[in-house]
Amino acid sequence: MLTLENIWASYGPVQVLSGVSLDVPAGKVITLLGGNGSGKSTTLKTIVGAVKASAGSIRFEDREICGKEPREIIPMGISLVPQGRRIFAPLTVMENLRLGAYARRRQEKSKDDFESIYERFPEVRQWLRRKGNALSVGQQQIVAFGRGLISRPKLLLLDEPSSGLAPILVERLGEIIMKLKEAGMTILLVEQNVHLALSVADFGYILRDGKISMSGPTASLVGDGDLIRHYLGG
Amino acid sequence: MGIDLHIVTQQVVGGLAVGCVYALIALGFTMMLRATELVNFAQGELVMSGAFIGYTLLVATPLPYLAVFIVASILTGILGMLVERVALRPIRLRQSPLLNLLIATIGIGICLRLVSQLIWGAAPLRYPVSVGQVGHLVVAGLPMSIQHIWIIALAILSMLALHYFFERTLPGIAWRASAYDSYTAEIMGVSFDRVVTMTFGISSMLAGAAGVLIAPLFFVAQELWLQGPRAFAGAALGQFHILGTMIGGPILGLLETFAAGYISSAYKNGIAFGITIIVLMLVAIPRMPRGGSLVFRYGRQSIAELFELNDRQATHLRYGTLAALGVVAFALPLLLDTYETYLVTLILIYATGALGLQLVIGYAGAIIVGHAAFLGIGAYTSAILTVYFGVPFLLAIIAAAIIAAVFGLLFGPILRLPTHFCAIATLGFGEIMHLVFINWKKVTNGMSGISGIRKPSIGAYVFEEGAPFYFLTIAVLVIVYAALQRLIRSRYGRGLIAARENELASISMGVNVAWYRTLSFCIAAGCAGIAGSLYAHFFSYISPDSFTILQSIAFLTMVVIGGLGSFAGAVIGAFFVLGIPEMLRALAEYRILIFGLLLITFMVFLPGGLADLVHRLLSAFRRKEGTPELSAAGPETNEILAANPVKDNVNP
Repeated sequence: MLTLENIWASYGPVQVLSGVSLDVPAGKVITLLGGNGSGKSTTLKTIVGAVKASAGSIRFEDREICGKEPREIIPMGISLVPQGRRIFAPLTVMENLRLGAYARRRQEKSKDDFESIYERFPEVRQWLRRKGNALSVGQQQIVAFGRGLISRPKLLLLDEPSSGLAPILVERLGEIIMKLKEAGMTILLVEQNVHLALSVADFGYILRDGKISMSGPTASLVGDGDLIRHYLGG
Repeated sequence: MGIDLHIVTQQVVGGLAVGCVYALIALGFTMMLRATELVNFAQGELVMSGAFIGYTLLVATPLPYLAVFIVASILTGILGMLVERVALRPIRLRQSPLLNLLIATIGIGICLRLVSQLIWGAAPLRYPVSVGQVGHLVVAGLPMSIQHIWIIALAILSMLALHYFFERTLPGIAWRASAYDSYTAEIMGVSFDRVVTMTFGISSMLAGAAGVLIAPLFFVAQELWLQGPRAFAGAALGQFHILGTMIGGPILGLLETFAAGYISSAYKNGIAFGITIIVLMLVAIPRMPRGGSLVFRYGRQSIAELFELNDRQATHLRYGTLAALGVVAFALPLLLDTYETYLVTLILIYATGALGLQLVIGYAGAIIVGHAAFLGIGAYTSAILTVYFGVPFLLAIIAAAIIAAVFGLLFGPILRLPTHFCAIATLGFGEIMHLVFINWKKVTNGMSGISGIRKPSIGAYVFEEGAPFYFLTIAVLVIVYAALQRLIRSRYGRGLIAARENELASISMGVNVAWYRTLSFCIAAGCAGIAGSLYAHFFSYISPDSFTILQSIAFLTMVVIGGLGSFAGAVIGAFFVLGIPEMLRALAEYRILIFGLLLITFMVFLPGGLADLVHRLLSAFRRKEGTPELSAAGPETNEILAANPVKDNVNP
């Protein structure tokens, strides 16, 4: 569904991605692991067009999207749940969710979309009029997922969803991802929490210094624990 | 003494009317700051444009007042969007520092003023007042001007519409989201570029609406633009929140009216600026120092570095250049005619002031839009001392420097404000000082100014007009230049530069950043004081009109066009800013327009100023000789680049 081929990207003079290639087949959960500064988040930002790749190709459903703007890419059916959740604090939950559907506002009534979110996360209904900054971290997590899913994306990009979460919330997060997987959602999960990532993903890539240094089905990566720790700098 | 209820009612309604208009203008400032962190210095000119457009619509079309109000607002909104797309977006997309955008908005303001002058003339126009807007309405026995009620009603309606837009419509919600976190909004598909254009559109619409509303209270003229900076106080009072600004505007209007009525009408126009400074000093000083460069990052290699000269060669080059400049300086009066000598002397006087400003802008990283005030303080000090007290020139020029520096020291804490707030606060300082020059008649002689200032003399020697005065000015300039150059290479100078590049890191290293910045402002003021003293003796006559915001802006552009962080650039900038309009003299008004356009063009294509142009040309020349080019971004970046060479060909 999504294929990155030899993607290069830099922030000014600092090279961040040096030829990243990866493949996300439909209906699978793929994880991208790596240490701090290895380029994981940049890879996701490059996919949605928030960071411009200097070279390489990104194909989504056989369309080249490399070089396009986020406002062109998002409506194609890609959704990114950013690191740290980044709920709009001064906006209500309702407004946060409406923004999730912003990109496809012209396509259809979003009423059904809201219903689908309430179905998946019934508790959201009670918070709708609450401001973003009045939510607990766990609630923010739910709203961030709701905001990411309300546009009914074909591909969901998760940027370190476990960061800053208490262990019990990480468990809940794992359940949410598993449910999405069962429902047939395609997910690219960027994580530092190796345990979580390997327990939900089908296939994993390991990124180091802007390059894919290792990849394989998660089953094989689990056995290779030492190697993973080495690559993650642990 | 009883308070006349009739008068109070009229004052309240009048103050509210003006205040509601302030609120509309200030909302533009608030929106802009929220979405882009920019203070749009052309906001006042957009108010003026709205007033002029409304005037034409009222005079030339049969449209009723309400329709004119709406159409003029929309047209001004379109004008604002055009300005953003054409002039500001190219600067923003180059990731230029905010200072460049600010200067560009000043350039846009100059252009708008001139264009309006070409279309509608410079003479104030009387606004046609529609039937049904004259006379008074009596409510509970108290008369209220119908015109004021119209203004209040339409302004409130506009604000309600804006509120509805932000709270209920998807673009409004998207705007708020982007203002809070533009990255996350971007990945929801909310394009930041579009948000910026929308911000300019809406804030210009508000400015246009304000222009149509406020014009009948005044005459329509270019001077209307000053309503912009004044209304900024409304945004400051509202803490730069949308709702706060809607309340802050009317409060500002009431404060102005009552202060003018019961305290002093002479300083009415300064009240808004006083409020701005006080409120900003109370709320806007950042609690956390920032890491990373605050303003810009144009480290330049010196010519010696560029050509890899050894120390001896560098010394030769330095003395060679100095000798050449010395010869030119001595030869100039022989080559130039009387008028040209006069002009060059004037430019050199301004350059002396610009040198000080370069220290505070280019090295301390602050933005100052009130430098002419110090020129004025120096000029008045020197004039009063020599004319009224017979103090010799040499003592007077030193006193001028000291008095101006003391003012700089007193207002130095303004430099602790974030750059854009610093700009608007110093603009306010300049305006207040201008009012002081006008109104403190006992000392400054008011608008009549001080005349009969003798030519400077040392002992029995008098520096007459022409070559003698020219040489005096050159001598002063060289002393100031050398002192500043020496200063910037001292421990103090290094600390100042370090603070500009990374405040947080410098504080951790023990640099007293706040004091260093205050001191830089103090020294800059001193330089302007010296220039002011020369200025007074040069013209033999001074009046408040010589020290207005226009001169302040001229100083600012000298430094920016010359090139930030280059003292030589400041001098070149002075020649450019004052010389170009002289050379274009034949073009009459158009030369100011061309100047405004040049300012914008500079910010788009040559953000590092003329000093950068020289450097680029030299680099290009050097490259031809076969040295690999490093980025123009400065030595720091070059080191990173050298460590991580960028791959030209990434495909294997």
